[in-house]
Amino acid sequence: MEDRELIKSYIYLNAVVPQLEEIVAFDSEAQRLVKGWDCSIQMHVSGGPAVCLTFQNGKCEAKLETVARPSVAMWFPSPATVNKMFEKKGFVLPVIWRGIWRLGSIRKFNKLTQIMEKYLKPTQAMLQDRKLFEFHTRLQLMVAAYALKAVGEHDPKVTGIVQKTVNGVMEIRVMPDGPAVHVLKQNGTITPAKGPAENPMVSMQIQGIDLTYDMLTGKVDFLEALGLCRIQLHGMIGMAENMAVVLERIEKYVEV
Amino acid sequence: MGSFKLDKSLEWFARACKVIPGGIIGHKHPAFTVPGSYPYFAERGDGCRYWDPDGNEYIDWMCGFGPMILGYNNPVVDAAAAEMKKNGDGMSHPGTVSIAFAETLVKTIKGADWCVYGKNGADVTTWCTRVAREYTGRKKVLMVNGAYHGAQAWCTPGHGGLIEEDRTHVHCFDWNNLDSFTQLVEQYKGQIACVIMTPYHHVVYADQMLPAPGWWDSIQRICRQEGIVIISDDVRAAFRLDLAGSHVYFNYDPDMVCFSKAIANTYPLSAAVGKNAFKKMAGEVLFTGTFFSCMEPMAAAIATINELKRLNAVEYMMRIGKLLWDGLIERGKAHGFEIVMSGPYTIPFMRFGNEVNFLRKQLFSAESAKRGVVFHPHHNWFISCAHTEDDVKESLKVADEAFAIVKQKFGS
Repeated sequence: MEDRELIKSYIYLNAVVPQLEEIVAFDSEAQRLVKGWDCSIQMHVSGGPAVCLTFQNGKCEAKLETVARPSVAMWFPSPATVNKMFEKKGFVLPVIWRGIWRLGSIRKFNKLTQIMEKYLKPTQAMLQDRKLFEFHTRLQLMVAAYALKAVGEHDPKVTGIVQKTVNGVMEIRVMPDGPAVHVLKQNGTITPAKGPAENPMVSMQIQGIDLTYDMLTGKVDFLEALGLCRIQLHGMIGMAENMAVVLERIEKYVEV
Repeated sequence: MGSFKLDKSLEWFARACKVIPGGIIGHKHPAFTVPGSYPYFAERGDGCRYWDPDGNEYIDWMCGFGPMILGYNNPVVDAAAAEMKKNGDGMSHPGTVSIAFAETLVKTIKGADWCVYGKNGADVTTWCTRVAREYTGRKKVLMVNGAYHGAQAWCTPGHGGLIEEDRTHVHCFDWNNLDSFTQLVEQYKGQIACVIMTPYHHVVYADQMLPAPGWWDSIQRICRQEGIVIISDDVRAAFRLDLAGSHVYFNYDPDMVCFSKAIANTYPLSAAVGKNAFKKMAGEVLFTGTFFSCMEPMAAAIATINELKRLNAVEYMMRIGKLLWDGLIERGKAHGFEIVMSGPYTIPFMRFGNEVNFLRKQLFSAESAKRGVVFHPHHNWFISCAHTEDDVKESLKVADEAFAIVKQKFGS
């Protein structure tokens, strides 16, 4: 029996939250907020995922694990509590067991998550702006790659598929010079990373950012796009086929 | 010879996508090859060649994924089928040709005492497992990891539309790994109805594996000892290794054997044969389908089998296959590549020795297809009686050009 709440919490903490790296790099308000900030904020679910965000030198770096001595540590007693917080379903108060006196940092962090939400769920007007559209699509791509880990490692419906999938790197690259992500699949684990891969086992190349947006929002028939060469697979196609099954499971949990 | 245009193929594909999910269903979808380099549709075939909607001509080393063994449009087979078709088909009773067909198969296949007929390989592989369950009163089915026995829920390599219970009683072991097999036999002692295996291991994206010395002997010994029924899935390999069945080629003695693909030289037909001990149960396990008893494919099958015997087909195909096999290794070597060929000469699989991700093979295959030679990048190929030495020479000439392009892009 799959633990829906647990998998969702992995998606939120290990796929969505790490994209604050992107937000801080892109958004001027976020940059203003983190300027001069030297702080690490950790979120941890009991028996579930953890993420630690380090803000330093105007940048944000995410680690998908707990670290020693974070500035602020938030603990959620169950996956459901963290999910409620992200889905804004009722009042959730995590246990702040470290750094509770750093209220300013917590406020800043809340503000950053609000900025991120704006980009993850943009209005139609925002999408008319080409720059925002491209950034939103880039963000979606990153979330999808990181969610591959969340779902592929924890959803019992696909963990068997991941186990049987050949080891190696799958790259997803927007052509000709768009964003790229890749995931390293090693036995039962999936490790996401940003940027192109040097020697991928399989590379999925998507013709343009518009097509990428359509693909990530379910507007594209994948097989049709492959046949018409709008999406190309180079390398171990079987690996991409299996990972596509994992990707499709993501939407069963959460709209990202 | 130059790069072919595929404009019409692509136009047809775009049109197909409007009414057919994905445009083309299953393993013939362009995504399984290199889209944009291979034809998407075939308009007509003759001998070992076919033509696409753009008028491009191809030497087909895939033989329609196996069914073509005497050549497309084979006059002998087509005449027998046409003669039968004259009388009408699909009537409310089977034709007497079904008896002639069963007699032909029983006479041809070693160890066969009876025969049933269906349409596709999965019809018979699935049914044989049910006969084995009925015969033994046991639930478990053993199969080899990665083996293909059809797209039914119990064995499909696909992922959609399945529930956990579909595979509850299906367990997998590794080819040529006796420990892996005996472990399952011990774990499910007294519960295993059958083991279903292909005569040798032919998977996609990987070298084919012949049985290791003693492999079939051991499987057979353990199965006899434990009362496990042996089903030989000869759907892909049959009639290309030994006309009496691939179990003769590899020297084992299955209880039931499944056939399809080459059995009727592209006419839709499958069959299972078995030993007398299973005949009663075979009659009790429902096996039926509206088109199972159509007469035209059976007439084609009888003509195909007789023609294969007359032509001493296996020996011929082995010779042609070896020419292609050796030629590719030699041409590859000339360009600095180590070419690895695996499987039997009549059902070869090729890859570049220095890679695991098929990038070179994909480019090689794509460039060959653009020059009129269909080598599949990920699947084994098939040799037919319609392929000639000249076809091999022409294909090797194209391969030479394709190797040069691969070298240019990747180095040796």
